[in-house]
Amino acid sequence: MSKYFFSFLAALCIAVSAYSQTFTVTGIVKDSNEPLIGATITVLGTTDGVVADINGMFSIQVENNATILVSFIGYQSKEYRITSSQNLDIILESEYSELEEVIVIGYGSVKKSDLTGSVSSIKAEDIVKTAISSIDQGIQGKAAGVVVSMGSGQPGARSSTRIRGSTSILGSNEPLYVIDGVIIANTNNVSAVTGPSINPLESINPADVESIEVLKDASATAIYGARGANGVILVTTKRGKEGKSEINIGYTQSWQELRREIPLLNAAELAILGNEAADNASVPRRLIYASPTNLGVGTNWQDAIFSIAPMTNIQISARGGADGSVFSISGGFLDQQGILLNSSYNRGNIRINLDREIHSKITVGTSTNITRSKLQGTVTDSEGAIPSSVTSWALSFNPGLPLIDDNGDPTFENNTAQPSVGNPVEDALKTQQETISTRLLGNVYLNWDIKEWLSLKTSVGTEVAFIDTKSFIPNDIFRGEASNGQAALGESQSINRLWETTLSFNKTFGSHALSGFLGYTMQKLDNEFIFLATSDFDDNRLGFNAVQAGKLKTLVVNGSSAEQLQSFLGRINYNLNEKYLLTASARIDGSSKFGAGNKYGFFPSVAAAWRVKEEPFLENVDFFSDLKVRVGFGAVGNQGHSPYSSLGLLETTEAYFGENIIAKGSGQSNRENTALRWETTNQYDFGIDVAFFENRVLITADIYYKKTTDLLINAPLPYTSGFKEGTFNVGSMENKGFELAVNTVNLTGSLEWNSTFTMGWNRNKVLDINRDEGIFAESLLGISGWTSVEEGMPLNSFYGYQTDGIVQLSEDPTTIPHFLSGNLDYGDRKYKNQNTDEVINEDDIVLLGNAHPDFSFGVNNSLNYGNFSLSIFLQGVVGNEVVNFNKFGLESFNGTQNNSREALNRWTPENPSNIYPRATLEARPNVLSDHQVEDGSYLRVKDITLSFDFSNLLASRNLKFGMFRLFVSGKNLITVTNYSGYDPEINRFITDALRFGADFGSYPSAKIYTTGLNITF
Amino acid sequence: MKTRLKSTLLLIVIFQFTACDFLDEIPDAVINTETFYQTEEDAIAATNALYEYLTVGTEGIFDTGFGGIFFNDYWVIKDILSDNCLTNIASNEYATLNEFSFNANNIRIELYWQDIYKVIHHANVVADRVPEIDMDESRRDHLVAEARFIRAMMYFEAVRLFGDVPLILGETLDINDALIARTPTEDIYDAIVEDLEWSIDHLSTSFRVGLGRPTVMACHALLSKVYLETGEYQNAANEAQIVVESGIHPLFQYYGDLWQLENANSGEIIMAINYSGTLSQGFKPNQYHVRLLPSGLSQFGGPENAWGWERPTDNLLNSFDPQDQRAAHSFITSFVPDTGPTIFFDPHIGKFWDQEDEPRGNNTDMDVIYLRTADIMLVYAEALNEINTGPNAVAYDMINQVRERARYNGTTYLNILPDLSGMNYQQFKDAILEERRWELVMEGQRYHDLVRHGKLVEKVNASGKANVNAQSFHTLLPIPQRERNLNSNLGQNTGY
Repeated sequence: MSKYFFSFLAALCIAVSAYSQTFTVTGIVKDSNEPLIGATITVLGTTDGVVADINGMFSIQVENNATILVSFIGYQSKEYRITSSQNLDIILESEYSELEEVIVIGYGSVKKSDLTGSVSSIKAEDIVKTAISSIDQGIQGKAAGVVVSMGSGQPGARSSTRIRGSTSILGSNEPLYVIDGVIIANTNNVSAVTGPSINPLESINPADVESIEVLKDASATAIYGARGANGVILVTTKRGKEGKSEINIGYTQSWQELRREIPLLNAAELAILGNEAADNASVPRRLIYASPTNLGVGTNWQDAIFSIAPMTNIQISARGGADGSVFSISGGFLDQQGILLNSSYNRGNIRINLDREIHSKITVGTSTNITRSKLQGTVTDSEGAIPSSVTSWALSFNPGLPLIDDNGDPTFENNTAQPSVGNPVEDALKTQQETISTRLLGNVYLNWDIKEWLSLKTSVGTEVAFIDTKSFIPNDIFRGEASNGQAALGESQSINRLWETTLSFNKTFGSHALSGFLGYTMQKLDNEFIFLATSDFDDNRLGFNAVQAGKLKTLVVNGSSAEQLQSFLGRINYNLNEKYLLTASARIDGSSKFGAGNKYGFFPSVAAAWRVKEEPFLENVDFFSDLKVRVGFGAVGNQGHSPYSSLGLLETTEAYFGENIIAKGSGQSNRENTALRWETTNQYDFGIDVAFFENRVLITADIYYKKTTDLLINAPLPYTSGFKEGTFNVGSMENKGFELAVNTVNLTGSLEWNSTFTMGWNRNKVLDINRDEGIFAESLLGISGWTSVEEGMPLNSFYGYQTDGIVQLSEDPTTIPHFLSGNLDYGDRKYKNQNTDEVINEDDIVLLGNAHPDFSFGVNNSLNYGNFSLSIFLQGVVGNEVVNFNKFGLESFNGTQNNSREALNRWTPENPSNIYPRATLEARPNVLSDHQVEDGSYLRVKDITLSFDFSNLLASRNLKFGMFRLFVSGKNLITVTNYSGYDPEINRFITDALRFGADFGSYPSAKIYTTGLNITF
Repeated sequence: MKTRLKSTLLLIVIFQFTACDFLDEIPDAVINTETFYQTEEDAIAATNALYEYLTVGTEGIFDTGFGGIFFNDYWVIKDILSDNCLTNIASNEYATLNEFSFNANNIRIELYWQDIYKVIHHANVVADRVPEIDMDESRRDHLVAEARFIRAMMYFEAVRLFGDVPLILGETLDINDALIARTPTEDIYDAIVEDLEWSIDHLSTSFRVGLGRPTVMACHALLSKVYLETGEYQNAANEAQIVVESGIHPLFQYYGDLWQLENANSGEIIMAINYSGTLSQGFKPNQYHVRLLPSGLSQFGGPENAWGWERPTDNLLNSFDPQDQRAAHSFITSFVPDTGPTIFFDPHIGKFWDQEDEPRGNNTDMDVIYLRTADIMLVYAEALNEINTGPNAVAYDMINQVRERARYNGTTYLNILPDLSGMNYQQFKDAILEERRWELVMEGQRYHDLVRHGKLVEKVNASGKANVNAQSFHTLLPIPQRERNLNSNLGQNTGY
């Protein structure tokens, strides 16, 4: 319909213009050799336009002095001023000259060629080409030095991003996210559900994104002062352009499936193992294992909880504008079922971006986004002292039990498993967990061009998030046994307000160009939460919708916190002869979270760049098309610790006087520290940008060194002070690394082939924690100290014992050093004695690995042939370790739970394995060893997309589409790894800075097959 | 229009700069030390906090430091550091205590020290800050007296276990005030006596009486125990005499009545640390049933989550007269399920289990008795024996009342444990030690009794516990190494 509408408009225009002088322009549009079918020729300032036909030919009527724009996707547009009728032979250049690109930096933008800092830019087309549901997925592997870790395969779950390593122990290590100028909070909300937390980045619909810039070095991030230490990710959404309105429709339909099952024992094999374990411990065999062969294969509980799940994503947007008003509106809906029973995520987004010139020098505008989402999940990622996630249960539940018993009830094995587990299918179906979030993110701005070279901008932004979490455990399943049913509700509301005013200038004096800005900002974040739980239910029917049905009030807590920031900031860019570039910035940040004596911090930076290619001595060196060197230094801060840390706080206590008097009290929970302040990271960066062969090879390389001082540490205090520890700015840590990004145009012509390669290498080292003992992370499965922060070691290192084979019959077990807590027998695992004593104890603990990769990389290849395009994106990490906590259960070898098929290789006198111990019901030392610490390196074909654009074919039939693209894609199709768990990419505790790199009962990630359609008209 | 627009704009921008005090931090949902300690409610709340720190502490449930002293360590450690009990937790921290091979890095010892000083700190906060609050003077003094009693309890634990310890009697506002050297034992005892005497003078008889809180009688009882340790026997006897003769806390007729839930905070119980499994939100009751009751009975309707971690030694079991009703109540050897045959097992300590009221054990309402009359009667007898270098009639009367009760099986007095008479000083002293052993199994007394009687090494090494090797220096525990690393002024006890 719109086609006819526009034709009508066009006809009208032609009719009106018939009175003025018009010319007929004809021509052919080609790249270096082929005609460009479907290239558009539009008349600027009008809605007139035609499309080049199958031979690249076109013909259009234009007025005198009009300008026509010739454009084609992937090529640089050209403009022609028309003063006569003429025939044009137009050759469009491929768009690989990236140097003229404009890059968004904090509080402004610069030409890429004028950049002095280290910034990676990711463009819209690289993000939306495939089926991603959040922008963090779009960043992974696309920017050198940025490592994105997925915490869970649960649809809608959050991820974690590290830019150039970790800088903090107590504070946050997540980058700062700035969405259209609004600095968002990116915090976790209080939750009543025991699963992965919802992704705070869900309020940005990937389809709305114009570009993502990753500010990496301190000279780029210092403008964000006390929040710049972990890098900054700037997200810019699409805005309208004057001219023809454009409507985009995107639709994808995907199917997800479990990437791999963990091979487990079948019922008979488990029974044989169980009997062997009982015999070896001289205890009676379990009755259910009496005749193993009759048990057969049994039930595959993984098959029972995982299935193929659909995902649908629909996007519609419209953009355009005229007469000083432009608009961009969009809506999106995502409906994703999870591969795990009863898990899903759906989300709707609406965005309105408007800009209007209300006066020749004054523009106002808004960016507004509303998101509503609902995440449903079964219990995953809930492990602490014992496994309790559905995925863990599916791995340990007895395969000898059928899905349902003779009465049609779910089966349950009482008091035989240790620790006992529930029926995973029943639990997944009956336990309800729901997170509903409503988010508003937006700002309004006013820009006043006071002079040609001077403008004032003030903007007010807000981010409002309401998160509702609900969970219910009915009383008739194992999980609800102890509580007799339990309901929990959590509600949180956070409001973030930001007001920024900047005065920008941009002036050229001969060969000197000066630009920059001065600014003042205020920000306030308020958080409130309420959390309540009841238990002891008689009736499960109403679930979490009527918590008062629970007879016992288990918990009622609420709380609130507030945080304020006030900052003065400025930057100056100086450009001499387009050759010498200098940038200096500074921010004075005041934060309420700092101690009374330390409210304001100063964060300066300076960077310089030299465009060597512009020098006369390189002018005639054709080999280089560009050469620029950059050097930068800056000081940035991290204030990502919790509010009120500097105050002496009181906690609520509860004791009991007699049998029915509750005595509430207040005791001091931490010592006041008025000197508390930000952590400071000084960062040095040296970079080089070089282009060869007429920009067909572009290389950007950076080396950096970051040293964080005043690191916040919970330093031990003498107990005689009444406290165990206190928070002080006493530690230091360093990161150093190297980054490389290479873009190449391998082939041009009818077959185009472009490649990009990014790689980041980072080394982290904790220099000083001002204490003798390491900082232990929370224990898991009763193992404390499995990971700890130690001086001289990288953060997130794993510690434990080295295994030393299995005790063989030829050895004398009594002479082999072992733990004091038990005896050693034939077939038991040996641990390496690292010293001269005769026992295995804490002194034999050694470093077993580290959660962070030596380097991470991404390789993207895109091929275009006519209307076909194919992109293949590979991504991987090398050199990290993962602690596979599932292995403790999977290799229990005691017959009380199912085991992995490795159990078939267990030690027996006939099968003298030197890796897997014997089966026994006797308790074995519960320690972490190199056996559970696995290489987490992987190479993954993250995405393959093959698409065909029908718009040219349709154009020849007079159907005008900017794009009519059909595509198929596959995500995570191939993974090369030695890791034995579900997925090396899953990182269970991403929100805990100290517990990176554990896999334990996680929700596995999926392979995704997608078909999709993108239409633009 | 343009001018108006511009001036409005400028006004807005200028307005932005006028926000003063924008960075002040005023928490709404948490109280901070600057704004607290102002009212009577604050004074009560600050005092109440002490009771949580005594019971469960505030470390997270999965933290090794979870639990205040009375949660388990008070009664577990004193008996495994003796001939009474052994532990079968496969952990080094308990195994080394059991075998007397522990060192200054033992985490249980460190946590005991931590809990002691945490409570002392918060008692000091009350003692320092509450007197500044404008409120009824007698109530104010009462709250300070509660805090000073609890501080005395803690120093009494500290001085008996560690000997010389840093004596800190004020809130450590400056961290350096916590980094002091060890104070001689005599000065610690002086401070304990001063606190308790002050409490006697200031504890109210109408405001917040009893139910897990100190009373005047509790002060006298504790003083008698303190004086017995310092060798001031006349004072010990005097204080014990006050308790016994007051008649406020008469002996229960049947030994087992002490751990009937309906008898909580009454009768013979002078002071108990109160717990409530019913009112608390999980994990806050003490660990009596979890640690001591036999495992595996859950499937028969018996205690859930029971692990039998501490068990009586054969040496203890065999020391009893077979019919001693204290043995009958203290140990559990069988369980009668609702259906099916009785289940028999090795003796476990079952004295704290009110089986009728709490058949599933686990989260219990049972309190931990800190002071009770039978203990004080034996203190009285022991003091009199020391004063007169031999037992007098009152001393015999005290011990024989305790023995008489042990004969009572709930219906009749059995013909066992005859009244003692005709003993010399040493015989009577030994009899007291033995009587206390039978009377006070797992009540936090045995280690101190053995040390006071100079019999720790002899008795422990003769207990038949595997691998045990007690030595003379074990009469004191090591100062935790962590504490010495942080405070260079702290010395170490000999032998460690």
